[in-house]
Amino acid sequence: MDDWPPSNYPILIALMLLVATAATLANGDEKLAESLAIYAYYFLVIGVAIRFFELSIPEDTLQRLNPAKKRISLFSSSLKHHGLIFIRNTAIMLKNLYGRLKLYLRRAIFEMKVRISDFKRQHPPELIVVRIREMISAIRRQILKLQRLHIVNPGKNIALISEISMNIAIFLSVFFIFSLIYGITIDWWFVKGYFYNLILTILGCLTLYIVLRVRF
Amino acid sequence: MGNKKILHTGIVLFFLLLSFVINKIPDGTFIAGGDFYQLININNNIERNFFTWFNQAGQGQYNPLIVALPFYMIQDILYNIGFSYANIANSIMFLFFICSFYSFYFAVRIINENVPDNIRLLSSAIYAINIFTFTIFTYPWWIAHHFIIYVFIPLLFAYFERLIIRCSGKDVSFFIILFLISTMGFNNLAFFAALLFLQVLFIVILLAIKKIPLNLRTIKRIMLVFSLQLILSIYFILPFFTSQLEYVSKISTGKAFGDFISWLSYTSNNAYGILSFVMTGDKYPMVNLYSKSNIFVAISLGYTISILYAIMYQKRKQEKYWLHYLTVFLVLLFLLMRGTAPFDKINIFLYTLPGFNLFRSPDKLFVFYPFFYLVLLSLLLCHSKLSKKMISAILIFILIIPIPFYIGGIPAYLSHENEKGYKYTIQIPSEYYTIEKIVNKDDKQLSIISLPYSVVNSLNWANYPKWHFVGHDVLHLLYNKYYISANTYDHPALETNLSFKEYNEANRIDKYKFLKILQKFSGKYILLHNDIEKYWIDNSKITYNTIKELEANNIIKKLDENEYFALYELDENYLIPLVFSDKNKLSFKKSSPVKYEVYLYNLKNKTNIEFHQSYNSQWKLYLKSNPGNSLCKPSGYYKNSKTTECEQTTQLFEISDIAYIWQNSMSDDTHKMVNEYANGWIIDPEYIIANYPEEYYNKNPDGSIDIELTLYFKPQSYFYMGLMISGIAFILCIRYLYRDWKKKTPNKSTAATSSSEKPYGKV
Repeated sequence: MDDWPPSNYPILIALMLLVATAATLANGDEKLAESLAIYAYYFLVIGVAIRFFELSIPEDTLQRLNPAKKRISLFSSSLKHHGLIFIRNTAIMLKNLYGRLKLYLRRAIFEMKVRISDFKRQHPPELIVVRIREMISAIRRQILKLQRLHIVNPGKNIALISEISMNIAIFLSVFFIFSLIYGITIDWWFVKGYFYNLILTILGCLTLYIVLRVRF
Repeated sequence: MGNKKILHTGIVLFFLLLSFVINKIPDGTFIAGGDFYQLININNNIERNFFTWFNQAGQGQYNPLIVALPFYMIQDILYNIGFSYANIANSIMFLFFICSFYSFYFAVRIINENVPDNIRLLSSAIYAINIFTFTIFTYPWWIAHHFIIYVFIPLLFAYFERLIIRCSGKDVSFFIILFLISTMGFNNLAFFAALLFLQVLFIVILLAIKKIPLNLRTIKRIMLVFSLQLILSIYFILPFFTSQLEYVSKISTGKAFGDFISWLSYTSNNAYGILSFVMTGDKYPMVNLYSKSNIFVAISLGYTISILYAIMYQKRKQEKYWLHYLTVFLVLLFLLMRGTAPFDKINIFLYTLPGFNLFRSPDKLFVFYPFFYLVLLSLLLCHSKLSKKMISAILIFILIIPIPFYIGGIPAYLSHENEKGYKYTIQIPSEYYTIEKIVNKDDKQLSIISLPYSVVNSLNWANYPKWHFVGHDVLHLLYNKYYISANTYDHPALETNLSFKEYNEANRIDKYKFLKILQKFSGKYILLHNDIEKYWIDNSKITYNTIKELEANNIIKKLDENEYFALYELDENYLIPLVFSDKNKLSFKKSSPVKYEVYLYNLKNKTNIEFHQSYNSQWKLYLKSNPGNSLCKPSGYYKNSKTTECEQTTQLFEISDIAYIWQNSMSDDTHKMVNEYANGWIIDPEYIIANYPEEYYNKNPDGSIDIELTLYFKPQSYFYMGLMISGIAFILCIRYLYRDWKKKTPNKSTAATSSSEKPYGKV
């Protein structure tokens, strides 16, 4: 599967849908089989369109892209170097900023507490107190975020999104199979309500996964 | 005997077993139904395909089956060496199998030499045995001319691809010969149009994937191939277009076929059906005689699943070998979805485009589907990472999918009565054969009229539930008279009116009106059916009672009656001949369905001539020089129209007929439709005297003139001309190939001398 061209993914989905069509037909649900067959055809067309694109790229494209690749790698290494300095500087700057803000923030919190106790004395309703406490906790969370800002890694985020979308797709596919079994054996009417949206969501997640995973 | 010889002997034996043993058609039956039927009395019916006018069935119309003559000649040969109708059917089945197999077998070799033998053999077998061919065999299509094209598609396309990619003189010669032989498959011009359409599509895709470069050389090759095809097809295209010109606009707008959109949806199949190789929803595996389960439809999806599976296991960068076939396959799939949602919107638009509506019936494009599918599968498997065993297993699985082929499904399906009791293996009641002696006792050009109007399924079809038949009335094959069915329009192509139906609906007995209708078709016999649907027996009282009244008045006489029909004969005094003049004495002789000699006597004033065949502007009158009527042997005289009918002399071909292409016809401006279907002309003697030399007429003492005319259907001349062009091309190609073969084959004597000289040389 590692050396698969991107076009194979939609074709795999088409194949799975066609197998599902056969299973559904064997079960006697011709209407569902018809829908699945149509989706299978669509995915086959998508796969072939991508295959067309793959073929239309000249075989020496990679060689032709080598100088550009070098430039990109130089740019990326300099970006990495400067980026690290930038991140370090940003971290120091943020630390300093936090150091300066810390005093003001603590004072502000202290003053707010004093004012709240005064306000409490003057305005006892508990609801207002609760809301203010929430505001305080929100501010605390922001402070924490500020403290951790320099730790964030963008590359890891993409991998994370890709992983999450795959997991969602798998989870929803399992749900899809259970729904299918439930629909065929017990009550199709209920399943029909969300079935097509479910397929679209699964396909969306898979597409996202494929797009984020592909490395040219 | 080499391994290959054993293998191919085995293949032939396998197909023999499949045709003559497993799927044996029951003796004593023949196959007919829908628009297609086997020929009965083949010797008497074969000659009709020599001519561009088909006048045995009804009022006559253009005959597109001129191209299918070789196919019917094969049947004729089998009939004459003693084969029964059932045996002829089995032989045609065998020929279909074996020709499809080898056509594909050689085509794959031409398309890609690297395809291994196991793939070639098995995919060729699948080309012969698949669900689509089972569909063909479970309807009377295969016993008639309709799907001959299926056999030729692989070789036609393979050579087409080869000529586009690399063009040699030898390839061109092979292509010309092959194309000329394959034209027998173009009995329906839509198949030819479909071939051209797919060829154009194929070229576009080849250019898109850069398999061929877009340069002057490629354009020249493309032009050469298309020009060759058009020139070689001229012998059937030209007669078709000249004779159908007045109907083309009607057909191209789809009006001739009612509501086009409804028709498109009615003839559409489900998407999963199309992916399972099923053309229409009323055939196997959708309709399964052996099981009610849908499991067989599910198994049939194995066809497309195998394609997808093979794509998944492709070696890298092998797309150039198969992507063009995959693209055509997908486009075909899309078009075959027809009126199926969600493809219906685009397809309705496409199918209503001018020219594209020729493919309104699913068979026109579907017939190409197995070829593209199997070439694609062969190429995919050839370039896949799958093992040889796995590939063979996949192909054997696909070969097994149409299970009924192997358990005698063909005769079972043909003999299966549908819910209304109709089937395709029928036996015409012997009563119809017994009246042959009466009806065929002379060869007068008169009609036998089949009554009453009794359409159930489709106009132009007859329903005889008593003997399980529905379709184009096969009874016309038994008699030598023009068979006029009340179920067809008076003018079959222009769809003018249905006189007998309208008479019955008027709900009033008027024996003279009825007699006039009989006379306008030159009727002599009436075949009054009792074997039609009961509804029509109950609702045709007016027709039945009118006939009783005519009988009571001695206008008609009953000749025979049985449980199936009653046969009546019109009294001689009321007979109207096929050709007659309203004022003058006339004699005529039929030379062939396209040619009549007419002699007009004592022409003094303008006179009308009527010809009781359906109107076509290509029926022409030619004035003959040195008129004489010495060759006429009178066979009948019609008192009321002063007409003499001469004995028929059938001439298959006369070289002089080609001259009608450039010869001027007369009275074209007066050629009109009469009696709502027939041809009529006005002949003006003054015009003849003023414009023609004296040798073209005989002047009588009273000032009147006698003239001789030839009534000719001009497209026949175009047919001859086209045949000559094609024949010359064929002979030249054979000559070229022979010379090429001679060049390559060393002379035996030279070879022997050189071989005998060699040892001496060495010594």
